[in-house]
Formats: sequence, C-alpha cells, structure tokens
Amino acid sequence: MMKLKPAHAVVGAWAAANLVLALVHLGFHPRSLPFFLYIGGTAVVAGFGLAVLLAVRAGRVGAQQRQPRRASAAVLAVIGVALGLAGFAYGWWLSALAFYPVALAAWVLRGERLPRGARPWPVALDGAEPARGPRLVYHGSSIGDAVPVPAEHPAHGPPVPPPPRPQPSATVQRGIWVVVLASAARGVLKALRGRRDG
Amino acid sequence: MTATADRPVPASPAAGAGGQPGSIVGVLASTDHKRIGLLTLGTALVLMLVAGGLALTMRAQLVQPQLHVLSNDRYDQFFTIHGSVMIFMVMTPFAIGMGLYLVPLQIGAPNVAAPRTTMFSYWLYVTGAVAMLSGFFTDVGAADHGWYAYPPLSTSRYTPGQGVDLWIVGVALAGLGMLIMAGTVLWTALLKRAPGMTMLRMPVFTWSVVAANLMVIGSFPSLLAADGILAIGRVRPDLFTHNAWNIGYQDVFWFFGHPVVYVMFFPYVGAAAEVLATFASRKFFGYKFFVISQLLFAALSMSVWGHHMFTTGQSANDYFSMTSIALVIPAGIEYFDMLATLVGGRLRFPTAMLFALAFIPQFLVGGLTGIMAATPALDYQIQDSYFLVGHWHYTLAAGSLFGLFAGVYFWFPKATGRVLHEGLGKVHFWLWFVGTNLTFLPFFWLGFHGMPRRIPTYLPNDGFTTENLISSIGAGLLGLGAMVFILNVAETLGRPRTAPPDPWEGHTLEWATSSPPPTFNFSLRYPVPPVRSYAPLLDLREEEQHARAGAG
Repeated sequence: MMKLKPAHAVVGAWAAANLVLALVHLGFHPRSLPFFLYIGGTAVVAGFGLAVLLAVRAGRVGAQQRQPRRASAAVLAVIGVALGLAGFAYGWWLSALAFYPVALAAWVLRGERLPRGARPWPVALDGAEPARGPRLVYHGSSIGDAVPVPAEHPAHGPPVPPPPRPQPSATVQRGIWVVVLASAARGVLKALRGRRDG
Repeated sequence: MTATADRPVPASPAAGAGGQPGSIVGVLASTDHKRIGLLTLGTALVLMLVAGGLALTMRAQLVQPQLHVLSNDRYDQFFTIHGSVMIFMVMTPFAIGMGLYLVPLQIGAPNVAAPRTTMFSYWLYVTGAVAMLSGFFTDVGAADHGWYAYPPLSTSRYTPGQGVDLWIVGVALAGLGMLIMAGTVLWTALLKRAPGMTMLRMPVFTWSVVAANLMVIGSFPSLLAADGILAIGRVRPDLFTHNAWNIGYQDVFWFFGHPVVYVMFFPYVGAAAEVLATFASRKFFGYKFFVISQLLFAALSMSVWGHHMFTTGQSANDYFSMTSIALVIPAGIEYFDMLATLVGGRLRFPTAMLFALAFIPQFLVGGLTGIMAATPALDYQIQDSYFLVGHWHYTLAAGSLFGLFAGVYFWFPKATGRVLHEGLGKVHFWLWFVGTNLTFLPFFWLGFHGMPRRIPTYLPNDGFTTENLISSIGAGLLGLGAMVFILNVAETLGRPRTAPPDPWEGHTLEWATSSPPPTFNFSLRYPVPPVRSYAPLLDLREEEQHARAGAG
C-alpha cells in the first residue's frame, strides 16, 4: 500500500471537511438544490484530489523537465473560444468562424513541445547562470535576452537521476485504516447511544 | 555570448518557429510563469483604473443631491460594470495572478505546471474583460443589472440589448480563465515543489494561495453554471416565470459568489503576513495554526453562501447564520498570528509595511460588519442599504486592496529589479489611508439613515448630503493616490535595474534568486538554498549570525 502523501491528503481532508458541513446542512432541512449544489462542489474538489493522488502515484512530482517553448496555440484557441461565445451576442454565424482558429491551434500545438527524450540546449538570461538540469530549448521570455550557454558549462552535464521512490509500508497503512474505521464506528455508536439516552 | 559546443543541438527550434524574447509573439505567447503572472497583474491594475474611474464618476454624481452627471441608465451601467470589473477582472485575477508569479518562486520550482494552459487562461481572462467592457459601445449600453445579475431583471424581456449578452460572455470567459489558472497554480504548489520543500515548509503566502485556489476549484464551476442559466434565460425568458429558477439561480450564483470573496482575501492576507514577518524581522508566529485556520476558513467559506438569501425566505437561515458567524474563529486565529508576529519584532516601516499594518484594522471593520450582516434579524434591516455597501467596501477596498498594495510594494523589486520610490509610496499610502476611510465610513451612516444602494440621486431633504459629500471628497483622495502610484511606477521603471536579490531581508525562496529572476527562477549562480523551515533565508541568516558570534 502507498504511504500517505500530504499533497492529496490536504485536498482530501478539505473535501471531507466540506462534506461534513454539507451533511450538517442536511440537518437543517434545506431545499434539495442547495444541498446537492454543495455536494457537487465537494465532488469537484474530491475529483481534483483524486487527480493529485494519481499524479503522485505516477511519480509526476518535482520539477518538470519537458516544457513547451511557446503558447501560440493557446492564443489561437482563445480566439476560437471567444468567437464561439461572441455568437451568443452577435449571431451564431460568428460561432462558425471559431473553427478556423481552433483548427490552427490544433495544428500549431504539436510543434510547441519538445519530443520526449530530446536533449535540450540550456539557455539563460544574458549574463546570468543558466538553470540547472536538462530542461528545454527555451527562447526565454523573462525580462532580458536568452543566450546559449557554452558547451563546457556544467548545465550541459547529464541529467540528475530521480531519487528512488520510497517503498510503502503496508503494515502501517493497514494499521491506520483499522484505527480510522474503529474510531468512526465508535463515534457512530456513541452518537446513536446519545440519541437513545436523550 | 556564443555557443562553443561542437556537439549537435538536438532540439533547437526551427528558425521562426517561436517568438524571440522581445518580439510580440515572445511576450504574448510566453510560457514563463513570471511573464504570464506579470501580464495578469498588469492587466488587472489597468482594469482597476477603469473601474476606479467609473466609481469616481458615480461619486461625482452623488456629491450633491439631484445632480445629473450621469443619466439614470448610465448610472446603472456604471455601478454594474464597476462591481463586475472589480470582482471578476481585478481582485480575483490579481489574487490568482500573484499566486502564479510567486508560488513557483516560493517553492523552488522552475515554472508553473502546464504553462501553455496557464497562458490560455490569461487570454480567456483578457477577452472576457474586453467583452464585458465592449457593452458600453452597444446601442443600449453595458449591462445594468448589478454585478450578480438576478433574473428576471437580467432576462432579455426586462433588459434587452447586447450589453447583458456581452456581460454573460465576459463572465464566462474570465471565470473559466481564472478556474484554469487557479488549477495550474494549485497543481504546482501541490506537486512541483523543490526537494526539501515539504507541505509544512511552504510559506504562508503559498498556503493562502492553496486555500484560495481550493475554493476556486470548488466554486467557480458554479459560476459557469449560473452564467449558463442566465444565457438560457436570455434566449428563453419564460424560464424565469417559474420562481424555482429565480431562486435556483441565486443559489447557484452565490455558491460561487461568497467563496470568491475569500478568494479575493486569502492571497492578500498571505501577502500582508509575509510583509509583517519580514519587516518585523522574525518568523511568522503560529505558522501551523495559521495554515490550519486558513484551510478551515476556506472550508467554512464554502458553506455560508445562503446568508446572501436570508430575505428570500428560501434559505436555511439558522445553518447559514451559524456557519457565517463561525468564521470568526479561524479569522481570529489569523489575526492573532499576525499581531503576535509583530510583538517583540525589530520593526521597520517601509511603504509595504504601512499598507500591511493598515490592512489589519480596516479589514477587521469589514469582517465585523459582515458578522452583523450574517445575523438574519439584522440582515432584514440592512438589506439593500448603504450599510452593506460600506461593509463590502471595507472588506475589499479598505481590506484586500491594502493587502494588494502591500504585496505590490514588497515584490515590485523582485519582479522588475527596481525598488519603488519610498517617498512617493508613503504619499500614496497616506492619501489612500485617509481617502479610504473618508469614502467608506460614511456609508454606514448613510445605511443607518436609510439610503438604499444603487440609487442615482437623492433629495436635499433626505438627509444624505453631508455623508455623500464627505464620501466623494474621500474618493477624490483615492483618485489622487492612484495618480501618485502611477507616477511612482512610471518614474521607477525609467531607472536602471539596481535592486539586489534581497532588498528587504526576506524570508522565503524568491529572495534567494536574482531580481528579476532568471528564466527558470534559480540558476547555478542563484541556486535553491537548503530548505529547513517555512523561512529558509531567515534560517540561513541566523545560522550565519551564530557562526559569526561563535567565531568572534
């Protein structure tokens, strides 16, 4: 079993807190819409937490090595989306025009990211040291000019191998589950007993 | 500098394939989180001037009874677009944009996760703002239904024309943009941290962004749903002849509308907290309590939306009143932490610190009057009065806006390599401190005396004249202060970059790199320092002092 990682635990705990508040809301006899609205919002956050969990399990943590060079496709896509929605105000014929920038964006998109395994050429701001590690061919869009780095520079060295992933402890994880379930059962029993006594 | 390598350059981009750094494409299609962040912040500041101009015109209209600076229709459009722009296009994007600029730096990451998607979100936001403001150029003018666009008033039956359509399009674009941007920043904070930067070593500002962005993920889809309901209502206005849809819209809208208040607050309280700790020269007090209270605050914030609907008789008033009042607990912890950070500190008072200090009591006024508004018995009395306008503006203008400017003065050297002029900064601060309180404090009295919100004028014998006059004088001071700020920025940007990496003796990682930071934030010359707590640079300084003392 996997060791509990705080990143998704934070999102999960936050979604759980919202679920508790939604359930408390139920005790005040709300209309169905507000209740399900709250549950829906909580489910969206829980879905995000699940995505974080999957990313953690897939090892997609730490600095991102492959990065896109530019975002022209994003600009074109926004033009498409804006045209599509502008049809709502100015007539739906305008929305049909959205196809062209979106298609162009899809065409441009592929060339914007380095192919997997490409060995990029590190660049840095003029006069500054380059970023460490093999990142990407990057024109640089910070203030200043991006320039190539000399070949003898350590930034051209081999990439640092990722640290080995720690092996999860199944016993500890199982123990946590037992404690959590026992506490929950105890809480429910206590609540039921309190209600019966009351 | 030339490349001296004889090895091949395998992934060099084709000539002309991408924008060069200074080119239009290089700037507008950048994948650098700092560039996208600065574009977002700059756009929000420009739009703040637009919304401020609308507000000043409204204050000119109300300075005396029965003035006709604006027609009644135009006045309605002005307050609608002022509120909409400030919320959807200024305070929210600025809060999320600050996170976009600072979070990767503070956690030692080279860039934001999914930078292209982030740029996509920025352009959605810009086109949204353009769409909303373009309503002024239509035949019937811009939307005039108030920033929450209640149906049936906002349907095509009662508000025909393209102004409302463009408002809906603008809100959809900007709302979607902010949802995406918040998602990428949150993903970065959760998954792209540098080695050693554990969750409980993240700076308080980053935590405040995490809490705010969690709320965005949970609540902004609801804005898009509400916008969709309105859009359907524009096409089929009969939809809103059924009251279930009118009340339903209010629920769906406010499920977004209240959390967004805290989205417009948390990053600014985080900024103020960083400023207070830095200029008190000590670690932020009660870090873990602050983090837990932020998350609790954020969770509770999702459960209070119904207090906007007390007077409809359709919300569970007891529940929403209880959760709203419960907000004082995490808020109290945060306030205690901020004040305790100052106690015993070696205080310095640059402009950023002044804004952060003023933020504390001014937001408190907004928060405490919010507790009043969250009490149904009181809310029935103050509903739709100027009291609520006062509460709201103390929260956002006197509160969050001061946190915003604390952040601007604090991080301006990091972003530009230039320190803003302190003298002009202090003039800006004092004009705004006096102007804010002169403008918004009289709103409470106006509400108490029965002045309804959103009226374009009033009669001399209504008894509203003096308070409105004072308020308009205060608004003038705010306008003057804004001009001083613009002058300061213009004058500073004209000077050479002389700011050192850490002009303030900061605590967090962004101060370990150059000003402005290099392309991937940290480099061999400015590496990520060891991270042993949420104030790694303060740790290093203290270690150095101990070593010196030991050697001495």
